[in-house]
Amino acid sequence: MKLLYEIAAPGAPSDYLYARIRSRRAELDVREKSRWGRSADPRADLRLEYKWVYEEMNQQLRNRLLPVFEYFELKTLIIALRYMAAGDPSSMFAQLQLSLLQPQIIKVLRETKQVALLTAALERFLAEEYPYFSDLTKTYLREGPGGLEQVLVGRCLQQGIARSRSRQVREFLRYLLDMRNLQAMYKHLRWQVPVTPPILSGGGLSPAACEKVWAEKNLTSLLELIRKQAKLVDSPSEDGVEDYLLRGLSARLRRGGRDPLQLGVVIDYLWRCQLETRTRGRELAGVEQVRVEETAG
Amino acid sequence: MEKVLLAFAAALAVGIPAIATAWAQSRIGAAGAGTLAEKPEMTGTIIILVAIPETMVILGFVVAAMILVMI
Repeated sequence: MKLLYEIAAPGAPSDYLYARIRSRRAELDVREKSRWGRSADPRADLRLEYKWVYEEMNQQLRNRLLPVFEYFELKTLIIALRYMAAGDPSSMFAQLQLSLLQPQIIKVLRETKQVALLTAALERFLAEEYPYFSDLTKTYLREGPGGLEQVLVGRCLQQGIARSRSRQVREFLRYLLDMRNLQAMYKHLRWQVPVTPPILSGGGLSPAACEKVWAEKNLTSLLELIRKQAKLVDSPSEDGVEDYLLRGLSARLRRGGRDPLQLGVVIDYLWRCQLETRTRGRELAGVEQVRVEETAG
Repeated sequence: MEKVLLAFAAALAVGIPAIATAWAQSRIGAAGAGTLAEKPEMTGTIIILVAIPETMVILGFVVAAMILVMI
């Protein structure tokens, strides 16, 4: 079974959708006119927007962008798992509204009360299509919700990179994978964790290059590697590595999204929606009260 | 034989621009429909943009007509 629901309708021509997305993307730059300023729940706005893009796409475009949507929707699944683990079903149900997940998966999420039972059900449904779901329960029991999340997201990115036939999609997922590796190394170095961080293969940075930097245990070398990866003019500060890497990704996607008739337009828009949700979430909740979903993934 | 060649040239003069116009209008039309769905106030601009490629086939038709007059 696929993670996301399938749509039989032929969908709109790509040029039609690109034009609509370009128009909505331009709206994001003018916050007063943006549809994002209207609702009190930015995550709901984001889900609504993703659902709209997913349903408007034609089959060919949807197949090309499937790894990106699977990655984003995996976050919904992980957030739902977190709420379930925290014993907060009402917040979990709210997450599942407007979700792109298969109806059978949503049904299981609604009806199952324990995370271990849920992971077993997800394994049954998804392991054939997504091999990384095959040892979900074992991973959960061994590493807990945090470890499960790390493993799931990392493997989802690796599979997306391996399966995608679109260069823009592969580059996007590669950057995200590199970002995870760099952040893991940075956190381990900054907090002087003696254990080697998990380095995932498949990204633009080779695991050997990451291991070399890790072996040096030198924060300056790592920050230099981060600067090269982000390809930004300024240098990263020790407190703002995540934001720096996100800025690097945004700049890349913005460049890729300049061609008005290419897939990059859609990826750039989806990413900008993510960033807008993140910004608005912070504004609404206050930086100190970051909600559980904003820390996901 | 010369008449056949001239007729063939006229056919090409109108046929190739017609195909190019059709291709351009299909893409501009789709993009224009997308723009109008988001910004209905752009109607006038979109109509002009859709009409611009039409000039190709009109010029092709004029060239074809000139060729046929020579026959």
